[in-house]
Amino acid sequence: MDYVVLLKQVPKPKEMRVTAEGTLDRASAPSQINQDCQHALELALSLKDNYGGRVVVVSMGPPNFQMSHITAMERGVDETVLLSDRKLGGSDTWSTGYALSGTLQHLGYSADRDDWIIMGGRQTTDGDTAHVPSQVAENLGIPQVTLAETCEIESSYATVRRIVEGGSMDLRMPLPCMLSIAPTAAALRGRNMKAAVKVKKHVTKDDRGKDVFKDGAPIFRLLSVDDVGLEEEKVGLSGSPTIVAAAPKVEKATRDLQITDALGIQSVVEGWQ
Amino acid sequence: MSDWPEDALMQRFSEATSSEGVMVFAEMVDGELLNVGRELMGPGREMADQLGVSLTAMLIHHDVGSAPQDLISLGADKVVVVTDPRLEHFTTLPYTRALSDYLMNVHRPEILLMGATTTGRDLAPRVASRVDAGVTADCTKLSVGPFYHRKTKTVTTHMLEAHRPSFGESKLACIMSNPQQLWAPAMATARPGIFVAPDSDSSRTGEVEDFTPSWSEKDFDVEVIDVRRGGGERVELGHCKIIIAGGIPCGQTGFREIHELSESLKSKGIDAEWAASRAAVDAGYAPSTRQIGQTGQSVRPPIYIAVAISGAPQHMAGMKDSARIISINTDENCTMVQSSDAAIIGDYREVLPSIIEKVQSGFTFGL
Repeated sequence: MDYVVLLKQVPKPKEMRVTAEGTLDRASAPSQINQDCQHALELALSLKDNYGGRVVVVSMGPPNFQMSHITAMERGVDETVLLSDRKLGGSDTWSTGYALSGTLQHLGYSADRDDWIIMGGRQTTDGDTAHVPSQVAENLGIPQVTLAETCEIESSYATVRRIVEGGSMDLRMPLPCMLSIAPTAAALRGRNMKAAVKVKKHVTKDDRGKDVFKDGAPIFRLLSVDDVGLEEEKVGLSGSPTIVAAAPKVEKATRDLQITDALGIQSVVEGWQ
Repeated sequence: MSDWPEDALMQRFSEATSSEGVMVFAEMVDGELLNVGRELMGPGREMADQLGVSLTAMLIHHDVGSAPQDLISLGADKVVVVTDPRLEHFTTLPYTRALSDYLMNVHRPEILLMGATTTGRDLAPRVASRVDAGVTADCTKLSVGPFYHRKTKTVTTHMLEAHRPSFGESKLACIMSNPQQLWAPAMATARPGIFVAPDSDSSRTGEVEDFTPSWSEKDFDVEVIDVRRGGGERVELGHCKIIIAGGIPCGQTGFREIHELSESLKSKGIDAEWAASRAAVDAGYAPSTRQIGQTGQSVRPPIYIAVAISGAPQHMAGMKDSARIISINTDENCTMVQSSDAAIIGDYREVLPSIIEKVQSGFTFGL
């Protein structure tokens, strides 16, 4: 059984800076594994603990995503795959869903095999759309459940608890299926010393002093748009059906703060009339 | 966005994409129309009038009851109804089939709106990938306008402008269709509680069309085993005149007093409700149905009282447009106090009882 995890590296939310052009300064911001993706990773690792198999991480992003892949490896992930190509820059969620599903198909994950399951975080802190898991599932032609909290696997079915407004529902899903994991799921475990030692052999520093995999490391695969056989006209800024037409600054509503006490509130409120 | 050279190529979005009309997917749960569907009839009708096209509502449920007429009264020209006993609880595949079949085989609208509920946020991206459409999540403002694409020197007019907060709410991004990949419908999900439902007019008339999708057996591969909704209580906070929300420091005692304050206001005939921050919900002091913020409800009541809430961006996102904000907090420098119209600096344990007393003797915050 393969537990595939879609994982995104994001700038740490509190340290996100905006460039002079008004775009996110991703290059210089310290990064981490997106919060919701950490929950997905934990679920995959716990499924492996319970049922055996392999955890495979798949990402789309710049080469520095390897930092998060190394962090994931230290928790017990078996293999990571990074789709990285300048042609993918500016992809919206439709294009990202297309590109990631193409990568999964390239790796052999198809709807007619029932020995795998895929999961990702509900949404990312830098995009906030929650679209990608659904769009990957549609492109693969497999069922999905979003806002999943727990998952148990029995023969070729997964039983999943999904959060809905004011409660939850239990679903029986045929494998393979896609789960988008809610932030209420279990938190990511710490480093596993044995795994960390194993990964270390395959890690070196790049010219900026960041951790990267050594060339030819058997636990990591770097793929390009051509490697995967994606249609170029469906990816990147020009291949995406949506664009950011404008992003004006929001003028913060200014309120005239009046400090008062429990007795004074009545006269403050009366002053508003 | 409105500056372009005189020789720019002009095209209208609906003509370039062979699409027409505005559609709203109106979600139903347990036989009832969700408020967000009613709310979306507001911007839906407004944009349809601006574009000079019709407004269609789509219902997918096992039993739609009087919902078609309700939607016509709220402004729909037409209601498309998909019913099947297997549609009692939402699962992605049958709902995707129903919507996509209609869009691809019957009629393709230029704009498609859905509520950003757990259903809408699951369904919208799936439909977008199936029918090849762009989709924008969690919009707070919807409008139509032109866009000039420099690279192709083309002006596309009458396009959906889907506005959503981004970069931690510091900017309002306007998302539009890419002229190089111009597909209809332009889709958007909108968060519940942002738009105001139009007044219902029962004299309005409209058409009701039954639609049967070409179901595939595989559409029903996912089985719903059990559904639990917290004590059947669904709390709509959107219409309240005053909301008193508590943060995690309130604890059980504080929430009892918040509840008492809300009850005291109700007994004076005021439409009041109590609510909570995400942290307080996670701690078990309030059900998730009463959560305000990014992952809860968005509200903008005439008066919002924040009790011991410091003002995390996720919480502010759900209440910052309230007409008046009053905070009760010990920390004068926290975001919530600094974003308020009035603040009572002090311990809620001392402040709340005296406010409850004031309310009982007739003070209703001017409402």
